[in-house]
Amino acid sequence: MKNLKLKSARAAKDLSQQQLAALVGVSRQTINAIEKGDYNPTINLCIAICKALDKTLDELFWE
Amino acid sequence: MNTNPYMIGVCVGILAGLLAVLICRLAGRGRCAKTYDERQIAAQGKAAKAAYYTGMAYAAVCALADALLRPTWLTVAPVMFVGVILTTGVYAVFCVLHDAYFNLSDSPRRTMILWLMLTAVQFLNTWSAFSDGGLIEDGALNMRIVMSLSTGLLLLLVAVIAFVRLTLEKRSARDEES
Repeated sequence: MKNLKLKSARAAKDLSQQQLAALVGVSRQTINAIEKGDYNPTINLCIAICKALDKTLDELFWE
Repeated sequence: MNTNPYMIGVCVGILAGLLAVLICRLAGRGRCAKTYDERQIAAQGKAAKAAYYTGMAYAAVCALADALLRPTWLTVAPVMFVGVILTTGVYAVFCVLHDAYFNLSDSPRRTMILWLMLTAVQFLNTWSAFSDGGLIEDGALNMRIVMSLSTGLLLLLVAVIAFVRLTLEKRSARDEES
């Protein structure tokens, strides 16, 4: 299932997938896969993404 | 003194490899460290599994072919080498297709140029081996041809797939930006 919350949070911060990927130390394809729902990130990566986007886990990853 | 050109080649190759690693370590100071993210490491695990099963299937097919056909021209060495190339190829192609081959600090373009240069060297070696003798030498497959041709084909295949994958990836990144 697509993670539209992550995509919109990233867009709100005016970050590209590449920029967010660089902030959290992963490849652009990984961010793309998370947004498309093709990959379930570990809790560590979820926390890193939340910190980079100033969001909570609930806001980005809880349905 | 008895000098075996093959052994000299092996020794020079090992020394050159060690020297390259040493220079890389000293010059790069950690830049050589390969960093993959968690999705890439998971994909590499799946690639290793696929390569393992391919190796098992290949061994079974070879054993069956040997038991049924008993080809005299097919010796153990080329069969083993092609098996190694096959499993390595499955691993590499799987990783490339899942964006898990190049690490976060790799330069794919430089790696692909290196692959193409090595492919050219392997094909030159194949051509040279064909010129020296045929595909069958002393009733068995010419190991020099098998080694250089299979390695060259593997490198070319991986380079072409990586090029197509990276082109698609660039297009995807551009679409995402716009």
